Amino acid sequence: MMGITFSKQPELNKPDLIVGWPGIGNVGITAINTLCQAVKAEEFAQIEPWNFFYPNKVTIEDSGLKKMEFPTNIFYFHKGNDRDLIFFIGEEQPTEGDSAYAKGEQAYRMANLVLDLGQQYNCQRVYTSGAAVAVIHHTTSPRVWAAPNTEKLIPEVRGYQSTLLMGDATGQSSHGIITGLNGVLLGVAKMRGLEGICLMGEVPIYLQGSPLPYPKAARAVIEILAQRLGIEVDLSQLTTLTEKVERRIDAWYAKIPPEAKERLNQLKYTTPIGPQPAGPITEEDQKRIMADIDEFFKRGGQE
Amino acid sequence: MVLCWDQDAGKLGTMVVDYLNQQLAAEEMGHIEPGPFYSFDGVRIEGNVIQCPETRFYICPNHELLTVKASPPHHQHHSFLNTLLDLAQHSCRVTELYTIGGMMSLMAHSNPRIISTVTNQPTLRDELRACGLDTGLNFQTPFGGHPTLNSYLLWLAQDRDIAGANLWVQIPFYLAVATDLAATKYTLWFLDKKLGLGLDFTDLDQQVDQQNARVDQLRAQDQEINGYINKLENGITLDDEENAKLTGAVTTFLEQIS
Repeated sequence: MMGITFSKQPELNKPDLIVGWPGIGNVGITAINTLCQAVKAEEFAQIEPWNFFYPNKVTIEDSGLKKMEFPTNIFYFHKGNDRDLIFFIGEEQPTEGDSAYAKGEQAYRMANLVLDLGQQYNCQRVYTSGAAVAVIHHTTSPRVWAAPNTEKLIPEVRGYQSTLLMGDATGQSSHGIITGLNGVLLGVAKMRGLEGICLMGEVPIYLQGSPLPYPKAARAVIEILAQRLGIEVDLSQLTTLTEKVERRIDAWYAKIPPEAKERLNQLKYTTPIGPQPAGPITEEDQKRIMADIDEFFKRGGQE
Repeated sequence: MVLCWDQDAGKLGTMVVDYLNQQLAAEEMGHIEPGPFYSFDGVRIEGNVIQCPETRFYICPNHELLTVKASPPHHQHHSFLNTLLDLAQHSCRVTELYTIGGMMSLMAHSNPRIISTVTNQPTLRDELRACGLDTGLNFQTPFGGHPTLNSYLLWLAQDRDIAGANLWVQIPFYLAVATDLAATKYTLWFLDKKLGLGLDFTDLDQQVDQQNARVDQLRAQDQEINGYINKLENGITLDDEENAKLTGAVTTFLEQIS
């Protein structure tokens, strides 16, 4: 297959394809990585990176060029008792310009390559995962927003625990946008007649620009996917990471100016499950919160 | 093959290749179609003149030398570099390549320049060490950074069994916006020695002396600038404000005189 190098040719029976790329809070990639490791999936193929990516590391020793490394895009497989799985983990999204998210022809080509491999193994269902920027407080339990690529899957998605259809979550009567390859892949899958669902863990609106991961959101996605795919997951490492991140967020939160903190504290009272009410946070409040946070970061995080 | 990229520190690469082309009566032999490799969302203006990204190849008759003046691509770097190497290897049978790059340094302009090199074959590294180049470079791209286009080209050349070296020439930071003629001269001296080109440096030597004399003139006129350069000559680092003042004064002074 052009553009993909195989190290093995496993025999798989109608596997599901589970895909993760980095994004806000590394939600998607953390979730897919955790599941991939939980089943001890084996690497068997990778997308040749040079047509999509600029190298990300060179190693020079005593003036000799030793190694050139590119972002990796690796496929793993797992033969299960009930179902077979293919995981795809991309270290970066192919971009045009400075965007962190896939864009343009490169995104379309990458999506097609991933699906080419999936269909070579007679894959029937594709899952992607990412973050949903939500008006929530970091002390609340994140929900999962879901977007299927066919109407037929809506009843199934409505049955997932702690999950909202994306349109219901945004309150924009079934509209919304999924940025980057997590969305594009499912659009291309739809064109090919493949079922797909994107599961997005909620990340507080004020942490969307933070360099910290948000493992709590990844955990919410993992719980749904693990149940759907029949995977037993040891979440102890993720719990440790969550505690570490929470401590850093709390330390940052303690430094926020009182007025901005008061506004953010109102987010604790949004409804945990179900469509979000119009209050207590209005659109105007959201703008003020983001302006306060921007101003706080501009001052170097000093009150 | 000797290759330079435009917008290099101290205009080093462009100066070197222009000098080679002029001295060796080079003739243009081709170019890479820019269409797929550049954004074309606007144009750059340099010296009040609109510039367009271009990559041109020149052949130096009787010298077995191909020179290339290139604009760094915005997209499809792998394809661009392979197009470049295809032409070099298949049309010109290139077996050895050198890239020229300026590396900003906290040194004073009165100190001798150093060329550090990265090579893709140990035998070439040994040859360059024998020529007096610095071959003790150790480096790993830090997290979030990216390798240079020169490293990428060298890596692709290695796959084609083309021996290659990136020549990184120290440029005093306050000459990086203007031109560093001493670095140009030293780079050309090395290429002349390594490739046996028989270059005549009379003109260039004069220009180097003139540039040094101009900086001396500025030092005599402006005690603050003189103090900064004195500090650099004694290995003392300047702070950011002093760096900016020195660079601004030298650049403006050299521009006015030229």
